[in-house]
Amino acid sequence: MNNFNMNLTIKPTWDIVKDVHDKTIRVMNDQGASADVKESAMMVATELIENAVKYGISQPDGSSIEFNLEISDNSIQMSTANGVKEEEHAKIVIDHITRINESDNPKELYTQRLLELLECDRPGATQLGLYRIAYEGQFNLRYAYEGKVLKINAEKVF
Amino acid sequence: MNHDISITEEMPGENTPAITDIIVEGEKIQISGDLIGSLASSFHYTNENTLVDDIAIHMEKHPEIFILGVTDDNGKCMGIVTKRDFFDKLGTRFGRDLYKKHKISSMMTNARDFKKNKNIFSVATKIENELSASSNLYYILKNDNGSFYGIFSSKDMLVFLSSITQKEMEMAEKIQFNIIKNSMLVEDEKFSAVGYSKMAQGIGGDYYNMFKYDSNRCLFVLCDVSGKGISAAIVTGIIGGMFDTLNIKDGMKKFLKKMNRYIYNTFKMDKYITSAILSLNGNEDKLKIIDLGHCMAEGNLYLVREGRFHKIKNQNFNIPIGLEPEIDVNSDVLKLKGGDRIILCSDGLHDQFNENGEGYDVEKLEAIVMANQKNDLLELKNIIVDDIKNFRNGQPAFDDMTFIIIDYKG
Repeated sequence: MNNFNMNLTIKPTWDIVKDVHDKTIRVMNDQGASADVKESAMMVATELIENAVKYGISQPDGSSIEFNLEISDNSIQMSTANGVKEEEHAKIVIDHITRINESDNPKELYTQRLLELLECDRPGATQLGLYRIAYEGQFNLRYAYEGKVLKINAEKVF
Repeated sequence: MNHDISITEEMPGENTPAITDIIVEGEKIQISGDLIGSLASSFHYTNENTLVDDIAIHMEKHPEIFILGVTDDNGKCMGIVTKRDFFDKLGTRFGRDLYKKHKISSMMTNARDFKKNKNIFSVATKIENELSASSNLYYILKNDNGSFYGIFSSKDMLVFLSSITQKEMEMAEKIQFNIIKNSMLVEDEKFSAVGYSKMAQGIGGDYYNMFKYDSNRCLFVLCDVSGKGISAAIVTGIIGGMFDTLNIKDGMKKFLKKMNRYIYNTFKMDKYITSAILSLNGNEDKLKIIDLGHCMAEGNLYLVREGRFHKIKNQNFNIPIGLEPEIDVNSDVLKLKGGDRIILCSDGLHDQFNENGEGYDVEKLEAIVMANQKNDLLELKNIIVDDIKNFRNGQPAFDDMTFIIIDYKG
């Protein structure tokens, strides 16, 4: 694959989930990605952007959700940056990412999270997508929270 | 004087060599890639007093031996005998009869020697003039105590240097494409833009980038460093670093003046940069054009508006970066309309030639762009790249090629 960068600034509406999904497919096709890589990249892009739309608001400086996809010959990196409605929400996301990063068994963690959600009457913000990214996609997750903007970064090195 | 001569043939997985006679195969030691000993391609040697006839019989049985070191009783190498020279002499009329009772030392030639632990590049410098010789030359490698270790040839050295250059080029290419992406797609509410870059020699002197710095505001940069290859690529690295740390809100003109001073003082006009910088303000429907010797109203910047293809004839030109100690920076402003498509390219896009020596001129670009007005930017990028490749019809790329296409939604 060649080095490629895609940067989209988008309004947080549900339409854009499909738009980002479609663009990611096109870019992955364009870059000659294998079926496996393409599938996991699409899943990660969808999960990240859904998460940003569901829980995010436009960034405080007036811009919208920022989606970035970076492909090099040995890695894929995707990130979203969005303002968060409440400080508490950022904390929940950060806690989940910390939990994922501290575990050495993402499969077990994913199953555990599913069970937690089944047992919960009102699951609310499930954040299951983050667990899928780590377990199914085998991407590493990072976060940055600054100036009420939450950035989630998912990276896979081949 | 009679000598007991032994042959050792290295057995896989064993350190102790097997013993035969006449010719010895010395022990191959694992040597680091930076030391000249790693280039040894032969380890065979024989004593100076060995008879030519014995060597001939042995070499006939062992076709893999192509060269021999000749050592004295203390193991010090005195010269070499190549298989070719050896059998050429024996092949002359009465040659075998004449030489067979001679000692091998009578047939050896001198060769330069080097300690096996010398750095390869210091040896390469010492034999630099000999590397261009048409014939393959041989050099003796010795151990620290002066005994024979092995032999390497000028061909071995050239193969090594070529592989190093190849690896370095691949690494440089990888590094450059961390700075300059093969392709980019940037979108905001008011615009979409795609960029593409391909260096003619793997690495080169084109640089482009797109920086969104505010809502609906974006800076598009395309630079073309004079010259091609590694030297131009180094300058693109500098440009990339400078633009990446630029705070656009501090002012573009101030930044360009500072950049010009640095390039001028550093490269003393050996390197200069033509550049076009487009600053899009979607909130005011404006495109500011700063042309530093890149477009000059002649080409490289085009507009498709309402179904027509135009050359953008900007009026305010600036000299390229790095040619004068101080520069003024003037700009033009293009009022944008929704549906506008702007194309900015390096001159390398037009400097692509087919087998008849014809270039990919503006008319060809216009034809392909106008035939694909309905295509989105990712499609159009691929169509243009394919069109140029088809036009070249197998001819190699003559110049680095970069373009940016902006669709203004309005």
